[in-house]
Amino acid sequence: MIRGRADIALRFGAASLFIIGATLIAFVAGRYLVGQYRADVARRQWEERRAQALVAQARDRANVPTTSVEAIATGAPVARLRIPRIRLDEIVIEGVGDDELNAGPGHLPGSALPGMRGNAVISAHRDRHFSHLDRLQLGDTIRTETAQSSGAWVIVGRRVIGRETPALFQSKEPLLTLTTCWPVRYFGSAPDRLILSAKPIAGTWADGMRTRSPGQT
Amino acid sequence: MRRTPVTLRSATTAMIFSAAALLTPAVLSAQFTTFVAPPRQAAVDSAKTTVAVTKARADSVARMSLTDMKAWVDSAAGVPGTKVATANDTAMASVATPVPDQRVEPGRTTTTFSNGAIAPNTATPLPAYLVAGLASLIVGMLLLRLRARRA
Repeated sequence: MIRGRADIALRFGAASLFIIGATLIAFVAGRYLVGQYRADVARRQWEERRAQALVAQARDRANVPTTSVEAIATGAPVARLRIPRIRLDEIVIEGVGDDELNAGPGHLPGSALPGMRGNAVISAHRDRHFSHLDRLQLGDTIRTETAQSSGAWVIVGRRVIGRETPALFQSKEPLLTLTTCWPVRYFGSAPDRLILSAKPIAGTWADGMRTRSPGQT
Repeated sequence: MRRTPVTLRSATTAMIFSAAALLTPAVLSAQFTTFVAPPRQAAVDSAKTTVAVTKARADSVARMSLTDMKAWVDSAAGVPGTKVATANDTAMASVATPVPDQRVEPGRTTTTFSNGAIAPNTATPLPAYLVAGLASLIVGMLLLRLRARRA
């Protein structure tokens, strides 16, 4: 009788653990798959936008009036980020919510776009797109590309701070800030943030620096 | 005839382990390796703390004020002759902006840029979910096997 009850309990416990485990794995896999799908969509949209921007630049050169740059919608691709040292090539998405960061590095709304004057802030998860950000050192280069400009940056600052410590500041000059969680290898919710600051390399900005981002206040 | 269920179960087990092996390495690598807990700090009095904080801030500002980065950048970018803006007249001035002596209220998240904002919340529970799910799955399978052996 006792053995029968133990057998039932064992069976029930095993089945429960099995189902819970399978559900958790399916949930995580689903999130990653959705993120990958959205990243692919963002890359296609980015390429379309880039093509439109090139057409607009050509029209500008031909003195054909073009429409002004519209405000950036959350979830829209805003830039391409490449870091050769860690072989990163991602499309940056507007917004830093769960859905945006699941799909790619997120551009903090209200901050400048890369290449424009001001502080351009890009954030991503430590287990996803910025999983190797800890390998970057002072002097490493970063390349960004937006619809308006493209060029290279050099990392000039690397800080680890608490997650509730003020980290983002206005800048009159172009500045690129990359953020992710720290430590990168950590179980659970990481307590700190890794902040990398980069400044533009003069001479690599063929399109020139702009004075203000679209939609920036 | 009795071998069929055993084969099916073995195949299922093999599929689950294969899927786990394919899915997890990258995520697991973000979980367990190379974290060294910081040493516990000894208690110091407030005067020493103030001096240390002031000195650390001065150091961080000095560290940010890089000079002669041209050689670094040229070698890193592979672009000979590129001119690097100097620390005095470019973004470094803003990088070295004095940090406001304030703590942001706990639990607040940054969704838009503002001066002195905290970094956006990039923490995600997904890797922990995956590790917990795998552990649960494996323990469940072991228990099922144990029960099968008992029977």
